[in-house]
Amino acid sequence: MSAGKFYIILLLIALLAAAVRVYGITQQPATADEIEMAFTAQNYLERGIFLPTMPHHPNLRNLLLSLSMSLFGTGALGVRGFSLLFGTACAPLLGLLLYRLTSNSYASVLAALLLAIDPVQITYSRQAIQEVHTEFFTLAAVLVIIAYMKDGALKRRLWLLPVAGIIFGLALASKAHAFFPLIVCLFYAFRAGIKEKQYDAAILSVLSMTFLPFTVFLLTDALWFLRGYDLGEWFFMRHALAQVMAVKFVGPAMETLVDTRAWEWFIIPLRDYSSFAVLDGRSYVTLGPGNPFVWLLVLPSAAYVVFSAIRRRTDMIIPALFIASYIPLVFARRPIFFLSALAVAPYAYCLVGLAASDMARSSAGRKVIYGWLAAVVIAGVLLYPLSIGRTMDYEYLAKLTERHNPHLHPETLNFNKYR
Amino acid sequence: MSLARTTSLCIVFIFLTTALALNTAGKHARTYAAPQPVSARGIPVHILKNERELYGLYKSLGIRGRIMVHLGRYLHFVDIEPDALLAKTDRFPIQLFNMLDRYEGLLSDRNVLWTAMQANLLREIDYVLPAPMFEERKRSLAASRTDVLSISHNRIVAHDWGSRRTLSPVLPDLTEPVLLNIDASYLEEADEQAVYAMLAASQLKADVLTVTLSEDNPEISAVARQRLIKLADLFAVR
Repeated sequence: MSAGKFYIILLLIALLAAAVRVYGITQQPATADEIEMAFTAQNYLERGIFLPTMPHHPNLRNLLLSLSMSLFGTGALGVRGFSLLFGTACAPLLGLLLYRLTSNSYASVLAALLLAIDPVQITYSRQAIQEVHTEFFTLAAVLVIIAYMKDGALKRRLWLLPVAGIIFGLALASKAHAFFPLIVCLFYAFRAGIKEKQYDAAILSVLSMTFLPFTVFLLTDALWFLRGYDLGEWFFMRHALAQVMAVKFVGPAMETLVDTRAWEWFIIPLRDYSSFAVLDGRSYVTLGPGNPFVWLLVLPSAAYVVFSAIRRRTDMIIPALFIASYIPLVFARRPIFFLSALAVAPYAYCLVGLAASDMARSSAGRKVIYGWLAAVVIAGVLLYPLSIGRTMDYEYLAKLTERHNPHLHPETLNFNKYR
Repeated sequence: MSLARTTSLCIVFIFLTTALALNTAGKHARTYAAPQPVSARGIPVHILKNERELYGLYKSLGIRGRIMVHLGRYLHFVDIEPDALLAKTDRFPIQLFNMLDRYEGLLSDRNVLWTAMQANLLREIDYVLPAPMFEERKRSLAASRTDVLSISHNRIVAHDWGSRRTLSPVLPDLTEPVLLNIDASYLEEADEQAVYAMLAASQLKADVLTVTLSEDNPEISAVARQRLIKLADLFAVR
């Protein structure tokens, strides 16, 4: 595939991603999380307070939400604007990332397409929460680091290191999940400097990906400082919130008690996370499962890609990003909700794309891949109503929601979600 | 000097400048009146009917971003659940309102210090509890609670989403001037002379000293209130 054709296809995928994310967006009622997030953004902007919801997550979301609400009001576009934008942009970004890394246009197009139409991606691109923000900034930062390292000659692209550091800072200021890809990129960038005996560049890579993200993160907490807090108290606050989030968090009763184990994601199909809303007496249930025809292939694809990389002595950055992002969630001591899978999914699509493009080299393999792709698309279409809150309109989907019915767990209905 | 070295130095400089600027901005956001050692002569004492009056007093004095030392049996820190306040509709556009106004509308002795923290009057609260009450708190507070960081023999360090709250039977050792409040409930177990001696011997500095009679709390005895009035007199006659 020529480069020109690749970029045109990527553009078409971006348009498709935008279409499935924007369709019916104003008719999908706000979830409880979204209502509370609008208030949290307002409280943060006015008083540096990060309540009433998700106070343990960083504050970039509050700043972005305040900005979009001030520009577009508190309607669906104002509240969900940045999620729609970032969620759409993730698809071409992932394609570019993989293309820049491997020059494999088929794998790159596939990865972008899988991200564009995966129900879990569509669902959280349509909600005003930080999941796709983190994904977008992380992918952008990884892309910058890959551009920095590509084909050596680091000296000519040194400026990319601080750029990556700033973008990683935005990712960390969205959600802590960005930390693990940051470590992988730091390792690769540092190693590239050492390998080329560019020791200044190696040091710059370390400073760019430690001090700069930290600086950006601090700046997004500026309104909290203005409540009268100093730097020592900032460390206390972040330590306390990290402890709440990483160790002691006890919120499985938020909306559902199911699907809180990350090890299940790529083994058991249709893991998901649910949100409920009621408007004019009608129930809107939103689920965000992964496409089973993709997610069940992730672990075999990962094994294949790792094996191939070892055999061909090629770079392992995608498997490293996947493993580094996934393993901490697998071994987390707290419930991990399925929406956190967005921190891992992009690398999973890359692995599946790489494995599929290898398989498509033979004509028999191509037929299998076409058949598989058709299954992916059909499943995507059938599952699409889940992402737009129309689950209850389709009997075959309504059954999927039964596991999430909070009335099956009445003890959780009045559970204070953070205490 | 190479571009890489110059950029590296710039990054460190930007980091340090940002950290310093935020630290300074935070400290400058605090407002103080005229702090004096608690043992000093002439510190004005405000006698209040209850803790709700405390909130109004702090607001009227323009208090912001302060540490409060509170002597009493009760924490006054029950948070207001947002679900009851937020609109029950899921319809766009979301109807935003000022949550602090609603909190203030629901102000009570149970939630007054929590509300004061939401209003940025306070950034830290150090509770000094009567010793038996502290021991009871220690027993009842499981270390697994999300808002408890540590429990030692004479201190419980907790937080409200990152804002420090300590519970202790002894006065905190602070160099920063504080807002000092003594609730009548503290005088149930101790007489005014003992409390006065404890405060006078401390290194605490305060610019606002309040005593609250907790008039609408039926659990407070008349004796405790009388002791509190006497304690206020002790501060006044020094």
